[in-house]
Amino acid sequence: MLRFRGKALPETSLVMAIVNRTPDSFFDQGATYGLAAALDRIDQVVEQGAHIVDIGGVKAAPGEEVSAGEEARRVVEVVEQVRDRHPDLVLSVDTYRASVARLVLAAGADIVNDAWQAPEPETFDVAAEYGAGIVCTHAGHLPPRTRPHRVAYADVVADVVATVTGLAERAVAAGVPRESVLIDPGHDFGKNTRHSLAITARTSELVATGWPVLMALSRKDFVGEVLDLLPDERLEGTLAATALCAWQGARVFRVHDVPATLRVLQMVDAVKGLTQPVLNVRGLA
Amino acid sequence: MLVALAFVPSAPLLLPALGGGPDDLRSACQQAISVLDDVERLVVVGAAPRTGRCAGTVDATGWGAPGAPAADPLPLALAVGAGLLGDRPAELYGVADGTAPGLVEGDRRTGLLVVGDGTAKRTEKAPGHFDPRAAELDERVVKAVAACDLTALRELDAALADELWVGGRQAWAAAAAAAQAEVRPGGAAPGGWTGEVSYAAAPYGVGYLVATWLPADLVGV
Repeated sequence: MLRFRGKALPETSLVMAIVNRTPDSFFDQGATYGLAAALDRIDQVVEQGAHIVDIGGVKAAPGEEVSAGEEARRVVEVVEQVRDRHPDLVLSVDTYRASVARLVLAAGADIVNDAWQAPEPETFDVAAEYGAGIVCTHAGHLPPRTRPHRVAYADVVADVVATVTGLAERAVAAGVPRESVLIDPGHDFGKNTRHSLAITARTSELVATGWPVLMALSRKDFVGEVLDLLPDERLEGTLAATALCAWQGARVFRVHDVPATLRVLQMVDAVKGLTQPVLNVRGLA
Repeated sequence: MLVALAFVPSAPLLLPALGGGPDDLRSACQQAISVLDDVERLVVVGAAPRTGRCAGTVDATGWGAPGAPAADPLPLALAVGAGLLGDRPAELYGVADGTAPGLVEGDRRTGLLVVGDGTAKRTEKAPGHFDPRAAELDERVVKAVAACDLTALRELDAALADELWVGGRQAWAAAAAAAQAEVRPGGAAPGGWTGEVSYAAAPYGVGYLVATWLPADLVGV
């Protein structure tokens, strides 16, 4: 059972919707940078059925420096207002800074989504202090907001498993509730496309650790390189990878495209027997 | 002594493990079954490979429901009837050919849950595809049930019914025969029976019928 600050999530595959309060993220290109636009987008993804919303204030790739103060300015007011509008929504904030984590948790966020492999380990203590959840991500041992350059692994999946389970145990040791810890292999983060494909193919090895697995695949470069397509052409590739990971037992999918992902996951869950078909008529009338 | 009958379809989708069917059909079935609330003996009647009392488990795994298969799965119509009754105990009686010796006997107030449906060829998308004779046959059955026309139900054209995939002929004939026996001095329904059809439609191309029969002299008193 996944539970974040008292909010339990269903035992199905789950969708975490991306809402960026950034002017420069790779796919949305600032579409939800303004406060009103971000709040509207959150209303929309909640309406569409997203289980979690993940708010980001700093793009992942290298770019304009965003101070902790500016990052907090972008995300805290969103958290405050969303908490009012959707009191039962599981709310995540994408940050690698402990100081920002503290401010958003105080404002009512439920999860710290640290995509950079815990560069500030005190984030674990902050999450524990608030009884909040945490995402433990493999970022290829790189500093935040850097790109991989000729990164090599003896066995990328083994490296991911060792790294994220180590982080997860540290989080629990710091006092983060075990039922509120997710592991994320970090597709594209510190990895070339073949590394990300290997992780996708071997998702079951992550699932076998027992920690619930978050997959952030949406429209990423590994999809783009497989297909030679731009971000706005990567939906089908993303959904194919999504289905493969869900089939192997990944639980949460961080996505730009909520309805399409929900349909794919509903289909996979039914094939797995996790859920029943909505209709039961064919051959049964 | 037969005192009440309820008629419901034998569609697998009515099994709880397969979703329970559309709301209006399911609630019509439950409403009809409620006329059997006060009987002393409750018997589910439905088509089966052999005529006679039957025992077994309501098992929907054969139709794809999750779980391990039972060793003794009931025939479809009896499974659907028992499934609709939930936890309520009932005897199960299978009918292979329309005759049902010993279905109703003795003085205990007996109710029958008659499980069967009409043709499966009502529309282009019906399980058996479209046959123009299907609607006509279903209509005849609905009228016969509404009017408690026991002869019509006992004498349905078996060859045509089979050709149109009618699932209820055997159970209806057995029920009509049992009801006929009460239309006599000292019977439960000396003045005959009164029928009420609460659902007659083919939402998936199969003729579904939900109805009740009660002794005529009790209705409207």
